[in-house]
Amino acid sequence: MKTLFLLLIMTLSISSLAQTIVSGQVIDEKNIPVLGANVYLKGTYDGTTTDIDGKFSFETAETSTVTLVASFIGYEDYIQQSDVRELNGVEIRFRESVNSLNSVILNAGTLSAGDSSKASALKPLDIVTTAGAVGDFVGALQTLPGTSANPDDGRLFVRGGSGEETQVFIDNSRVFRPFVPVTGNIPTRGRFSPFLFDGISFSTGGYSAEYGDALSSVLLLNTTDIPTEEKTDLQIMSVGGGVGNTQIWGKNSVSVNASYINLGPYNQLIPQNNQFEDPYESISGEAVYRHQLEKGMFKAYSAYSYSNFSILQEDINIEDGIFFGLKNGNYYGNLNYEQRLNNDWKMETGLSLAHDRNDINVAGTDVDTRENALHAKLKLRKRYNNYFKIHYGVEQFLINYKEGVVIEDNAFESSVNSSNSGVFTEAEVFLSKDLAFKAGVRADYYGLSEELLISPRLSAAISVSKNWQASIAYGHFYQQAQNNILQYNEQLAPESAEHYILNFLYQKDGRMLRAETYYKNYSSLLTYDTDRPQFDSNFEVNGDGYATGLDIFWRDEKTVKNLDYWISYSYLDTERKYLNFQETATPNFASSHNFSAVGKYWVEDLKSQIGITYNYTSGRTFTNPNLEGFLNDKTASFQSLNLNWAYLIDQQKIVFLSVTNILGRENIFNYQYSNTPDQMGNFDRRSIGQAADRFIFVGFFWTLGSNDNQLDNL
Amino acid sequence: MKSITTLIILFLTLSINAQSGYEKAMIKGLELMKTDLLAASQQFERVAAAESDRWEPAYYVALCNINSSWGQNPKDKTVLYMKKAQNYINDAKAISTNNPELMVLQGLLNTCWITYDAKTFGMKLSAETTALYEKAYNIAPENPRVALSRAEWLMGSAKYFGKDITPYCKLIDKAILLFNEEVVTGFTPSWGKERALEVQTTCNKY
Repeated sequence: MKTLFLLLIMTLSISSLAQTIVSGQVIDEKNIPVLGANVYLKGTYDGTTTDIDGKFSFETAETSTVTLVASFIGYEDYIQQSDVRELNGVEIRFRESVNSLNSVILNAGTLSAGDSSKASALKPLDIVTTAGAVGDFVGALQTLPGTSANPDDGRLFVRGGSGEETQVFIDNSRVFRPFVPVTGNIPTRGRFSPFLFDGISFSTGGYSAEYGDALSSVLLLNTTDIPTEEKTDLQIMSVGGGVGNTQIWGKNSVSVNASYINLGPYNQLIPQNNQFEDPYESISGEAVYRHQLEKGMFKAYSAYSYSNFSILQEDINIEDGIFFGLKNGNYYGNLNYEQRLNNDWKMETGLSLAHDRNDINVAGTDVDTRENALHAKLKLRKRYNNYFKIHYGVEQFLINYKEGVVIEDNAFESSVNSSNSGVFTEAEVFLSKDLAFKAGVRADYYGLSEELLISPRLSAAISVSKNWQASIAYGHFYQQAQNNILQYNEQLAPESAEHYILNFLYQKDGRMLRAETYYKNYSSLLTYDTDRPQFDSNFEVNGDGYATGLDIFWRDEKTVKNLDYWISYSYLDTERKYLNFQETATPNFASSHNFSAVGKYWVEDLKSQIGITYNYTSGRTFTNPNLEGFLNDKTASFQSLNLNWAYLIDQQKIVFLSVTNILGRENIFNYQYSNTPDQMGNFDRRSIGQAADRFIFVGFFWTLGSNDNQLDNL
Repeated sequence: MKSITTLIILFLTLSINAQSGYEKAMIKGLELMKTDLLAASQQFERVAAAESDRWEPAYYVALCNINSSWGQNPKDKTVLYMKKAQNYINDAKAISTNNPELMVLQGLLNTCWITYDAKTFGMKLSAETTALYEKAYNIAPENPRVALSRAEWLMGSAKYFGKDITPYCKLIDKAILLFNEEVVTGFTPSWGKERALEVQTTCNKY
């Protein structure tokens, strides 16, 4: 009897392992059976793989409520909770997953550099390896369509917009003075080291509601999340030197770098078109601290730079020229904290602080400016699923700007304090992987003009065929006048622009064609009635203008082995009435045709990358007083051929040589005319050309103290 | 007395059933790996979902996906496999920290990304991978997979720069010795000897 009982128990304990049958079929949205899907009960080992008909069947010992999971690469996970006895003959319908690879992208207006998006126009490396860019991230961006090359300025001029119309953000916090101030035709540079950023997104219009107070364009820079190893970098350059170090401990890391640049010795060797009294000299340092948290990340970024130079600027009306000296000190810091919250919410906060001071002397007149600025931002994002995401945010800007002018012992002071607040929300909806929308709106309250302005932003993308997609974007944008204007008139309403963009994108196997056409409508542009803005100018905001054009970008890294090249062409038609323009005209910084071709060829045997860039920009407008009218003449075209050569000595050492404008073409950007005519009644003129015909850069970069590889910098 | 025996037997039966569930599932997965990577991956996924405190099932899911990421059509699909592998490596790392086997796996996955798109990921991942192998080597110099993968990685860089690879061939020989001495317990990884022998043959050709 006892034995029988024992047997019974043993049989039971075995047979209880296999009782219920779970079966059914997995099909996709088009009712096609899915082969190879994984179907199982969560928390058990029970499950199987679907057969060619999408069918599955397995046994389970479970008796109560179970979680049935079906998953397969390329589809959203299917999850169903139910009583196990009801799982005989279930139909599982898969929904194709929306991911960055197979779905449309909302990319009208956007050009990104990085690996996070499949539509990256540039790779992270391109920022430093584009001939002519000489390590300045803005230099590489100027080879993209939608920009007008202004090599005498160095800032980004986007689609008929002036240099001020582009705002720069680091980790989504605003950078108040991203460029080193210069004068005349000395090109400026971005302040920040390109090596600190691993993602760059450059929008030439129609950008997200998250970004306000920018009329034409935003440039978004993201610092690297986590450095992977400790290292020391040394840079010895023909114009200076630099050193960098990264330390990692536990969940913390710090990267610091410092550089010193002095153009003195270089100017001695190579003749300059400018007559320097004190050569350009700068010292700068940056530091990033990162702390990884269990559900988030804290980053602190800090940068300080100091630069000074003075020149005797040629002037047609003053024989000895005009003395111009400038000392600039700039601090920029931002704190960034992000954390994942429950239920797929994510919080991001940012705080940036900036201090900028200029001590300028122009022909004996001292002009000192001081600017303190703050930007605080809080953003919340909820991801409902891959098909629907929404975010909300608030932000606050505070700016204090002071200017002091001393003319012959008479001191004048003016200042402005502005406080602007913004709120925004935006939703991203994928109806399917072939159709997506983004709709957002932001409201900005401009404290000085006491105006509340609402800016809607919309974009949509649809896949036309396997490799083609079309997208559109619309947006309304506002931007407050510059501080040096506001100090004379605080009530000025912000300038306004509307963007309409239509974009086609083709992508296949390492080739990409992007064609974008746009119309931009400016209104409330700033106007005044004096030679330059001053305290007694009559400022108004009744200027207007438009810009329309076509941007083409082609990149191919496939056709020729080891050759990667891109070509961009922009056509621009723009006119505006603003500043002290007498009539509507095309401004000097906007050129009708811009063409760039960039090639990079890797020579295996020489362990070298050879880069070549050719830029063409059609003539720029200027006012010729010998003819009737305003902005009535055009310069000859700008052309420049740039070469660079990077040679890898070994894993730790690299030599870099770069020559811009190798043919030494004498490019002219503008003319200055004499105030008084000569005996023949003609106004004499002086050309405003390049700072130097060529720029030659030689650098040696060495990574020490680790197994780091200089390939990383190539 | 009899009833106590019964109880003991009963308990034994149950505990054998319970234990062999995991073991049987893992053995089945390892068997499948020889013939069908997809089915093997799915088997390990099921085990991983049931055993949230063991790193081995997630390890094998990642390994299967790394091995099957190649030759996907369209090429972009490779990325989905690599991303899946990364998710499971992350899961495994959350269970077992500072595990040299997982560092090796991460190194292999990084190599996949670099092969997939050298221009983008070469910069980002090669320094990281070198650092990872060094870290693994410091923790477990006697682990044959660490020795093999590190040697292969270093050999790859040396070949690229046209340098002598003999020192790395010696490291491969040493890895083979380590494979011969390795005692495998449970379901900890044991692959790699065949690969090491393959690399050794190419070394001999030089």
